[in-house]
Amino acid sequence: MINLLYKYFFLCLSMAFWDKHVETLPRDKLEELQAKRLRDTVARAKKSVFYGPRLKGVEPTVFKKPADIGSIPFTTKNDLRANYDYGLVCVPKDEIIRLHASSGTTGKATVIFHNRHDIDTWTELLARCIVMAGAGKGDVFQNMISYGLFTGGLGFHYGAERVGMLVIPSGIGNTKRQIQLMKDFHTTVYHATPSYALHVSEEMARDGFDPKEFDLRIGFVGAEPHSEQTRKRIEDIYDMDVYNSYGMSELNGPGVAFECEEKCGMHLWEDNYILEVIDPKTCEPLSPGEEGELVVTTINREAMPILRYRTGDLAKTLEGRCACGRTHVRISRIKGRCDDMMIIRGVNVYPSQIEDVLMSFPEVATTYQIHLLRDGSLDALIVKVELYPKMFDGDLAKLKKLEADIGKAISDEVVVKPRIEFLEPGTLPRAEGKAVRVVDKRCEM
Amino acid sequence: MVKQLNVFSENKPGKLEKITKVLSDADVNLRALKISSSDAYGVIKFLVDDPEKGFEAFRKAGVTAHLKEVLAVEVKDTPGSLNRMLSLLAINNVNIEDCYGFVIEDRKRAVIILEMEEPAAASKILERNSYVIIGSSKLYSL
Repeated sequence: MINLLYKYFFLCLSMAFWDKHVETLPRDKLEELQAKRLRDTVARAKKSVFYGPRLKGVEPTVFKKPADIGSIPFTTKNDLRANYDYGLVCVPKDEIIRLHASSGTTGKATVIFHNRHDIDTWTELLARCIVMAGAGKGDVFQNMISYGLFTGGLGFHYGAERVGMLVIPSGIGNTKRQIQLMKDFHTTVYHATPSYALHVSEEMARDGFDPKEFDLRIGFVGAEPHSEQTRKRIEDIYDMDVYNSYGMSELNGPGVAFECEEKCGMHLWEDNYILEVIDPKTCEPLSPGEEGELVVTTINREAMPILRYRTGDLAKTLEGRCACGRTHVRISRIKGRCDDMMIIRGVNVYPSQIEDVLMSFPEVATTYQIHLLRDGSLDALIVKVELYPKMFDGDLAKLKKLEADIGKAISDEVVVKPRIEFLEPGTLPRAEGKAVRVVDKRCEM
Repeated sequence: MVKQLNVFSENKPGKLEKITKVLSDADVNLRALKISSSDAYGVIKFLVDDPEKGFEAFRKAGVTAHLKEVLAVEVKDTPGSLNRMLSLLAINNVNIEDCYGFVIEDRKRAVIILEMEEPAAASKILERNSYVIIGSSKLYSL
């Protein structure tokens, strides 16, 4: 009963805003602000090693409205890699107070730098998201996601503190302790990947708890592609509201777009980002509502602005005004990726990284396949490789060692530990043209 | 020294059937066979009358195979014979990777097949101690 009252109390508080003025800014004012910030961003970006030559002759004053952005070339992940480490930074180094990096233990990592202003505005965006989903001061927030170089942990941590929640920085893993914390400190809101959210519920059941008995009322779920069905499942299991989150380290991390209580698309914070949707093949802009690749420009970041970033994420904008009153554009759930980046347990993995590792082993033939499954509720990475007959020396012990060596090399490269399956040559299907390298069965399970 | 056919196989129904069919079609006769399996896959070891022919048949059929030199040692078919031979190798610090055997004359003679890193060295030790190392022509004509 107390639990019910508690939930009702928060229901009355809902439809809240963190920064109502900006969140409901009329479209013309919002676009005016975007254009001004775009001009400032272009002027600032010119100071970086990368954008300096690229924007030579481009006068910031030409950007009268956000749509004028089309004259700037796109920025890709490869640009970020090629300009590792400080190539896109446009403030003095001693002004930088934080770096984050996407996965990749070699020189392929993508590093993003923030100054104090950037951390502050990012924190503000997260605060908006959190309050928009109906959470706030008085809530106990368990942040069950990786801290460290990954942006999910610290991003939400800062935002949650700013709105005044009691933050439990539990990180990911040690599920029994997570459950204990949830129980003892009456966690009301948590943040997790969808797979970990499900995993925790299974562990609860094993320990004899009903996930519904906890005080949980809101879950922030993101960092892995997941379907509407998965959201509903998590909501049913815990009897709480689950909100979808969109972001990527290149654009700060979480807090780029987030669902409001209407659960009808994610509001993308247009005072901080300019969104374009393009045809990934022709690079032509698409009409509103057409599905394509999201291209995003940061317009409120000082240390390392990124212009027209090809996110590789496929989605569409949703038309019409949202009932919540916010004027910022809504995007659909991310349908997939233009390239073939996989997100496994919240970690970005490119098939090419795995291919690189496999191809460094002469015993492995050129045909391989990556299978993604749900193991319980966690993602499982299975790498099926065909053996190269000429390298087979008939020794089982050596095969076992090779299996372990490949597994270790892949896990060193992509952070996720795979299961290696050796196949006889000719077992995997041969494709005409582009081979099917990734079989993702996570959504079917 | 004799040659054994080591074949890589996934651990799935019908695999052994498919592989032995290749030998059958090539008219290769089996002396002995041994399976070393890890859960998902394994190595099937064949001792045949014509290993080169068998190897070629596997190659053509797309079966991953390797010709491996192993040691065929004759022992008496009596209690303790195998153990005596093995203690000799143990004293000499010879490591055995795989081992199986079969009887060639009931209650009298048996053959032990030894897979090891350096069969030539082990062969010398055994021969110095009066063990008969069976050569390929003799083994295949058994």
